[in-house]
Amino acid sequence: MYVYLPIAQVSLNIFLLLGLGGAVGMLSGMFGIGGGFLLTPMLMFLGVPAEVAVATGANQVVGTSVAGAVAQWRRNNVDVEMGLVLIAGGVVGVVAGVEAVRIMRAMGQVEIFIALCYVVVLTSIGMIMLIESVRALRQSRGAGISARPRAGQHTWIQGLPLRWRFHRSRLYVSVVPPFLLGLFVGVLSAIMGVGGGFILVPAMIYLLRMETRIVIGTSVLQIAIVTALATVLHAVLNQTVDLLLALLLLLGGVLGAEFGARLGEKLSTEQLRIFLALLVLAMGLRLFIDLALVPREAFSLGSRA
Amino acid sequence: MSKTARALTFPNLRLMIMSVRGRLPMLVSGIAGFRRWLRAVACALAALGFAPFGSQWADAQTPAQPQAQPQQPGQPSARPPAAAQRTPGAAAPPGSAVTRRPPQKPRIPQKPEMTTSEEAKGERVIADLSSRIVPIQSDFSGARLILFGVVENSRQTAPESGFYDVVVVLEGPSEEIAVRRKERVAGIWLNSKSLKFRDVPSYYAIIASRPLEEIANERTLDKHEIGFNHVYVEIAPGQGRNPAANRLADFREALIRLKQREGLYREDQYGIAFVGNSLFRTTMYLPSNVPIGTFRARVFLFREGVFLSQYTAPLNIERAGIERIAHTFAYDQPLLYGLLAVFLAVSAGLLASAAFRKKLA
Repeated sequence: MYVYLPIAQVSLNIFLLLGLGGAVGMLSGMFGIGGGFLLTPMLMFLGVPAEVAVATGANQVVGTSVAGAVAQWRRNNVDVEMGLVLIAGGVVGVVAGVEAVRIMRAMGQVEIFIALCYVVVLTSIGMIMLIESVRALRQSRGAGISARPRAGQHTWIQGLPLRWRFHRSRLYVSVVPPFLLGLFVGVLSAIMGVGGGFILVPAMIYLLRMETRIVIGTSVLQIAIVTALATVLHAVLNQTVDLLLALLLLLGGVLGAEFGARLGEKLSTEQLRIFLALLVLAMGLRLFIDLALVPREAFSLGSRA
Repeated sequence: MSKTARALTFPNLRLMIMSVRGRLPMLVSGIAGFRRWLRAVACALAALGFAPFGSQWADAQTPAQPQAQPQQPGQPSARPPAAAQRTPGAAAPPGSAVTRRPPQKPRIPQKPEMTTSEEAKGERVIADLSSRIVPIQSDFSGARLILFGVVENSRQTAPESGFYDVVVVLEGPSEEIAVRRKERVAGIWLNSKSLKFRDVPSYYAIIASRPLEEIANERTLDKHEIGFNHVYVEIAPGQGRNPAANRLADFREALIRLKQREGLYREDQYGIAFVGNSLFRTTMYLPSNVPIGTFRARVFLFREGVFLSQYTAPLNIERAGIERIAHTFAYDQPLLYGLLAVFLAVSAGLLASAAFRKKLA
């Protein structure tokens, strides 16, 4: 059964879309990832225009992260002050990112630009995940001590000006790094339709030395708000949000996420994590090969308005 | 192909000759024609690089051309001035695409129009589509249209005799389209060179009773814009110098090739069959990515390479139902649309987590 998507202007199989949403949702529930960086390139492979895939992917991330944000809020895992600083940076980043998409679209480079961003992000996340999961596997087998830096050690982060006291995290650090971090993730949200948790979480843990559970709670709040803003801005400036596509993906996504979360509790996710890492790497490589190989068709058509 | 491509490399010359030649009869037709004559001169000057009256004179000139009126060959035309203009080969060697004027397209034909004179003996073609409006709804995955046509005063003795040749051209609304070429920059293929064409049919399906080159000669096909390579397209203005001919040909070929690959340019060389001595039919498929807008189906009747008659039937392809609502909403109320998208996403997420929590408890 095919459904014609009004903004993407393509006709796609409805079950394929539900299944895609479900599969990505399941993975995100299982591994606690946003899933945007899986969903958006998948949509591009299916033939959805890159800019529509990005904007709709951002909308999808809103849906999956809101539930998480509420749950984390209830458990008092959100550092509101830190969240506000991150969001402030995120707002600036999103505006810049949406503008960049608009400019690239006008120049006719948007597909390549987005693909290039994905190549960088997917291959680096894939590599990091692979290394992490192999290390985790080794640790679970033999004895091994985490290489996580202990709190109290001073780094260059502590030397920056504009220090604020973040009560919930019991931190006294400069607002510059979280602001810049929020900004960077905001740009990624707007350009790639991702939440950016894969960057936020490790950066907050290792750079800002925040407690892991507060990191997760705060980042998911930031992601929900920043992707919501990215969705609205894409809708206003680029008209690239496809409601029908978003609804179908959400339907599959939220159900898949719940299912995946339960499944994740039962299964040992360490081995599965390697497969996810390989999947992410494969997608990044595929996109890279498409960009690097001599194209079968050197020409392309643009501005189908 | 090559002819049109060559024509495009000399747009100034072509425009000049065309405008002056096309206006000559108007000069003698009195004061009423004087203003148009002036405009033609302005256009010719503009083509040479002068713009004494501003460029809008030259721009306004092209659509103001009289419409190409197909005629019954060998019969006195009802409109002598138009006939004089249309006489091919007056100012340039026959068949040269340089002098070929772009026939103006009737943009929004409201009613089916007949373009042949009502002579008693001449053959006349009339046709209509099985539906004049194709709605695109959320379950749209392409459509099938049937075109029926009739040859009045048919002299054919058997349906399969091949006495007449019929060509149907279904065209979508014109659009401006950029063709881009990838080039390797630092190991990665980026879009570097691009060329914009205007008045490109967004959709172009051609169905004939036999291969086009057997039906009519290049010039006739050019004149009626029958066939991918005979469609008149222009390079959009404001792109700097005119590109070299071979480069232009590359881009034009790429345009046709890509459009064909998207399924928007289609060709069926044996798609029309006569049912009786005068009745013929054909089936046309619209793909799911068919553009939205006003289409027209032009039906041509030929016999032994000679154009006999033409008929144009309109077709509207429009969004309907949810598609229409969503699309107008997205473009007319983008802020509300974006907020609604977020609202839906938030409520879906909250609903799912609420349902899940209940199950746990």
